[in-house]
Amino acid sequence: MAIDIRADEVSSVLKQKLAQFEAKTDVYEMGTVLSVGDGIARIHGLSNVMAGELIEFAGGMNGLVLNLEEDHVGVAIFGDDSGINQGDTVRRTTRIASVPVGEALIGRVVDPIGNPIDGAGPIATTERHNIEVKAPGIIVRQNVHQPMQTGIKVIDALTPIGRGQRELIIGDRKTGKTSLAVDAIINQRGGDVKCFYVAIGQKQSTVVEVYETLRKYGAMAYTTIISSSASDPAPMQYIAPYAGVTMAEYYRDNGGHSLIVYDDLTKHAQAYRQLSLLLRRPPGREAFPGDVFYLHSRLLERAAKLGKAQGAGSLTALPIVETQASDVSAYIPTNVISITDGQIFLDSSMFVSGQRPAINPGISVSRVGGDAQIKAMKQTAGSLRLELAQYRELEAFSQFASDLDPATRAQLERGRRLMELIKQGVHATLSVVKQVTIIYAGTHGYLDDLPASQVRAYEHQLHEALDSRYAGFVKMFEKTPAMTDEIKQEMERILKDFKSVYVPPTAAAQA
Amino acid sequence: MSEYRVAARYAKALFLLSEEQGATVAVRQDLADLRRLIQATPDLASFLAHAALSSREQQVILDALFKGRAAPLTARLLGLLVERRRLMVLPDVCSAYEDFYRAAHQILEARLVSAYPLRPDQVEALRQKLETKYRHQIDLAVDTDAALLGGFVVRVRDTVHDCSVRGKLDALFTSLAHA
Repeated sequence: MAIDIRADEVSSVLKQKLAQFEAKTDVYEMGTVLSVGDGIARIHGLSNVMAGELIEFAGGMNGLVLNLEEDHVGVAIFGDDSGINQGDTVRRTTRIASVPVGEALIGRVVDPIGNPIDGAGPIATTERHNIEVKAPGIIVRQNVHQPMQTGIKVIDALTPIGRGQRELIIGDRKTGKTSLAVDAIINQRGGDVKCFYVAIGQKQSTVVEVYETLRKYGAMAYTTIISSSASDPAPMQYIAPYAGVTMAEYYRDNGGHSLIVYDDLTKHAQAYRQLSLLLRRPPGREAFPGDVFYLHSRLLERAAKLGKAQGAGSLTALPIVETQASDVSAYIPTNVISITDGQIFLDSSMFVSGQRPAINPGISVSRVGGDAQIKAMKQTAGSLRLELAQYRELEAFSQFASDLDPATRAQLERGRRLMELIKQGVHATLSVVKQVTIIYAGTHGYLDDLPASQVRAYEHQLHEALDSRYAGFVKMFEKTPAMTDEIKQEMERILKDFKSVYVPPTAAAQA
Repeated sequence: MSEYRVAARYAKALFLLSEEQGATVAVRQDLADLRRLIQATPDLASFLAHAALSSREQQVILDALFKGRAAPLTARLLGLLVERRRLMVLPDVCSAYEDFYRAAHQILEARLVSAYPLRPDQVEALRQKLETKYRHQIDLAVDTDAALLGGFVVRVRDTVHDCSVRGKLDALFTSLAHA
């Protein structure tokens, strides 16, 4: 709060308010609390209330009307219900739940109603949008054709994501799902994409960790965090992703680009299940209500690439789903897999064996991103995908290495190096040129004479060399990011030249 | 909640039957008296809700209380509720019957609360205003509440018309707090 408010300013504001204050009859509709508990209130009266409308309790607390029944209304309370008593009066607001939107939200941490929780003062925006709106229809959209670079080699090469796409990140606990999403946000630095991270049912400490990471890498300059932690009431967790997508849509609809991460939709479905059961809606499979598919489909449909007439804005969604013991055939995973345009599958056995990011290239797919891939990457990654697939087929035979024919053995060796090549450090995102160069080196045999254990050292040195020695090539590539003959020749020349510069790590350094 | 729905079914049946037999006035009076009696006598309310009493015991007590005093239809309602083991919904049946009666006769229930007692002609003028506004007959209950400071508040069904000083001060407070 500013301390230097002058007394005459205050009185002039008061005077203005008092002058405008009309002695009008206040007409409103009201109801009475029948029962309250577990974040749910049952209200008698309010016979004209709309589903999804906000209502106001006596203490100023808000609630969301979810159930309209013959003789009462079921309401989810946004906040602590201990101050609400049986017999309290409730007022209609005739408003649908909405959140503040606009540039003022950038760099902030807010709760699902849009209140700041980062202690950095109020959010200076007057624009509010309803959190439940219909997704754009087919007429206003165009196909996904621009890349959304994540800076992660294996994603950008094998399961590319386009602007406006919905790509699911799925895996067991502790397989690097959040890190992957955070990396995708970090990689937008210096670009035109605004990022939104929605934490649903996360530990407060995890949210702080994500915030600190984003801040450290300068990503809070274009990111908003919407946090509903595990201790928040279920209604808050339920509306969090809708609040987030509403804030992100602001850019999509104004010709900008945004990226939103929902971390994670399993917890979101659980919060909704809790609400539904308390509202006595009939339970279905795994006790989820019947509309849990619609819950996620209407959310993810709001990710879109808009047509030129609408400003060609985009909203890319990266939902996260946690599986139990790699079971992708559970209810929520199958639902979200079928809604999204592909999934990145994180494998816990790969993670523990040191293959990080633990993306399983065999079952990860991207259904639309291929059209959005940069040409050079498309031309290079094709052979990577093929060789990795062949390697997976032959992998089982690798223990009989001595009995294999030389061609098969060569293929196995190549595959081993490529698996090493798609490893990448956490929060170490790479530019397209670096990705293309190292993948080109791997698929064209430049790594074959190196021991597999040296691939990462080679890559590291190559990237350093691209920053200094071969800066001219980087400039040339960025001008025409396609594998033209000219670029190909130059890349071959560089890779040959780099052979002489490359210093193998000493045994001491390796140990 | 389900109790209310059950009560509404009994009330509807009773209402239709009393209309047929032209006993509406008597039954309505009975049920209003019953409601008042239940509200005034906690013992009666707990007797109605008591689950351990047998139908026969309930009937004996009810007979002792109401035999010969209630209209035949009301007595039959009590008998049916005893037989069906639904005596606990009796208070709800009474209010639901009143709701049916009001809906059928285009009567709206309204409640007027003023800071100071109003003159009868003032109340009457207000009632007529409400009747023209809602195009229904208005059944106006009048009350006073000094906490309103001045003016009055009328509630018709769920709609509240707040013309009180208290309400104005509250509204002023919110508008200043959000300035």
